[in-house]
Amino acid sequence: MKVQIDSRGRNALLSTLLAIFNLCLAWTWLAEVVSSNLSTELLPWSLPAVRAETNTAHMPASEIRGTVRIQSRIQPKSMAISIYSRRSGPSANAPAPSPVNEVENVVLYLEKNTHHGVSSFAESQAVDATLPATPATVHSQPRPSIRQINETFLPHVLPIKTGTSVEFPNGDPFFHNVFSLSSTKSFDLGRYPQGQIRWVRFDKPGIVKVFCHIHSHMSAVILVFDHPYFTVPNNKGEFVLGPIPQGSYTLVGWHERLKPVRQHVSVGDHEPLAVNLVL
Amino acid sequence: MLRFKLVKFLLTLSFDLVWTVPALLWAGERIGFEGIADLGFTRSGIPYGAPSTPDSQTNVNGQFILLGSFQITGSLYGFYEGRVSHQEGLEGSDPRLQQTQGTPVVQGYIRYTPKLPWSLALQAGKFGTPFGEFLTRNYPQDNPLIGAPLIYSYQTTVPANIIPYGPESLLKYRYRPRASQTYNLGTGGGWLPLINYAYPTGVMVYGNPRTFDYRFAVVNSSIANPLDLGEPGQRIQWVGGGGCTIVPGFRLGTSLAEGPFLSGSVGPRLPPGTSLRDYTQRAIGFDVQYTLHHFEAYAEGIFTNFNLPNINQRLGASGYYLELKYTWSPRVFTAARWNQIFFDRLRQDASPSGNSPSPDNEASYVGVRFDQNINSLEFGLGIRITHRLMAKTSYQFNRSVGGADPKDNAFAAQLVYVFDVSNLLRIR
Repeated sequence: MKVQIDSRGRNALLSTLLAIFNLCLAWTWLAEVVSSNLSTELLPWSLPAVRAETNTAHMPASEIRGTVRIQSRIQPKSMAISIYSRRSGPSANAPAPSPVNEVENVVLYLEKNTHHGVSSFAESQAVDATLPATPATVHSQPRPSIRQINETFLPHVLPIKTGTSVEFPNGDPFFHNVFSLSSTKSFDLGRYPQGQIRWVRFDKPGIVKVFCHIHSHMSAVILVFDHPYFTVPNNKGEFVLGPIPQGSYTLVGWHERLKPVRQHVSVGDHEPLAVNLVL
Repeated sequence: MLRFKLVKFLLTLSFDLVWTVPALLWAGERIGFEGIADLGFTRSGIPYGAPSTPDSQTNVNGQFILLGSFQITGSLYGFYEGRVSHQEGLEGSDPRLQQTQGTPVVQGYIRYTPKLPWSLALQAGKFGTPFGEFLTRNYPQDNPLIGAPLIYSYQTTVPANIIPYGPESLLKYRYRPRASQTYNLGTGGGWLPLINYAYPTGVMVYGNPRTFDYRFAVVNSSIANPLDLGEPGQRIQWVGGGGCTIVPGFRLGTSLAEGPFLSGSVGPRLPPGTSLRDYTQRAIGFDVQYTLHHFEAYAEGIFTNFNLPNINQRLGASGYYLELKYTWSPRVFTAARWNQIFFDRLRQDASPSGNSPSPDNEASYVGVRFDQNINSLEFGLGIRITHRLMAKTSYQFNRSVGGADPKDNAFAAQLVYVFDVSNLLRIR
């Protein structure tokens, strides 16, 4: 169907196009802002800065054990769009959507409660932190990595501590170009082939959204914490977080497409605390 | 009448968006929709050495593209593309040179991928021509510049819906009104580029076993003159291609095509005893891609010729482009593209009807090129504002060798926004 429009109509249509364009921009930006605010609210910026020189030997500590379960309906990710026949690589098609266990994309972390409630980032700078700097926590992996396999970032969500370097090995027999424009950390690793590894160091807490220039459907999220009290549940939703010094905290369950869940917890000096979270 | 057209136009646009809602609700992650919106302006007709003159012309262009992806079963995949576009600055004798156009189905096909040990896919419907390389990255977020390569955009003197009486009338087309710049593309049945953004209807088989790739299609129109299903002039023809990825990031490819290109409207005016099928376009193309780290290089060349009624030789043209892109930072990249097209010289002095060269025009047609050789250099700067929003600007130097009007430079700026339609339609 082809529609020829005269000059008067052209102006009207141009205005319509502009309006649609602006609407799209406004809507999506609004969605991104809302999402960003939600995520920012959840970030561990509210935790007190941990002092590296803290002596942990005498501090009573325990851990939080429990399960996390996703009850809410998670909006499915959009399918990858594959327009043209691929001119390189072994596969003729973009990967078909594979079932994802979304519970593995949940991040659990602590916020420190203060007399005024949960401490904000600004308040946290003034809090006399007495938390251990390096508990025997869940992330013993020396250098965490996000692999590129079958046009997918694995894992999709990676929590790390500030100062950590993340590897991005390419496991696909074609190029990837990993990049991020997030204000927390922007980088562009360029194009590199299978078997090669690039890495990025993250020094600032916040959310880093990672994409691939070549495969626009690929995405990952890195949560950069300025403390070590975070973990990811296993595929059954079970998690262990700790050891944690005794005190009052808020345990947060975070998923990028769900409203976060918070639960106040009081950690004793020895007994593990059992917590079940439902998102 | 205008109101009716406006309503019809808006319905075309809303059709694309509205029907996606139930589809998203029902299909979940087996479906995906992506929107691409771009808006730009061009300042064209700029003479050499001057930023602008009263003759320079500013045009506004914009388009909205909706892409849909459907995984019907594990081996069955569907794709859809619709567009609404507004283009200006295409002044000339052809009415399509300035228009707002809604095309509900630019592409729509089904792809079947059987589970075979060797890579193979079958595709049927309306899809982008498998000839050449640039079509795979002609979307504004993939094209680092604003213009398209000359071999895809410069319209030659070869028409699809006019039959020249002989060399004399063919040569007159060299001075026809034409777009004063090449940022805006025309499609349809008028003056033909060497390769058009062809979305023919047909079937294609393709695959990429190991480091090789191949594709072969039987379609209903030539690479220069795309025709939609149902338009007169469609003729079965073939397009093929293949390539080899020497090392990751370095690929050599080739393409071939042959078939009729004239529109069906000229059928009654063809020389006696001939048919549309006697007048064909043949083309062979080569392409190279090299990418490493933050550097990308693309080159593509084509040798093509057209067989026209009343012209006793195949009219050949060859062209190429070389495109370089470098990403300087996560947000900033630059690109440049050098293009050239060369046209054949005529070997015929008189038309079959006996017309001899006019003393006022050419002393002889022999040795005269049927169109002016042309070259173009475009360079540009791109900034990624977010991973979905990109701003680009570019400047294009165009020169016709021996051309009468040197005012051919153009400046352009463009804003491109890519978004997941699902996120627009869902409450996050």
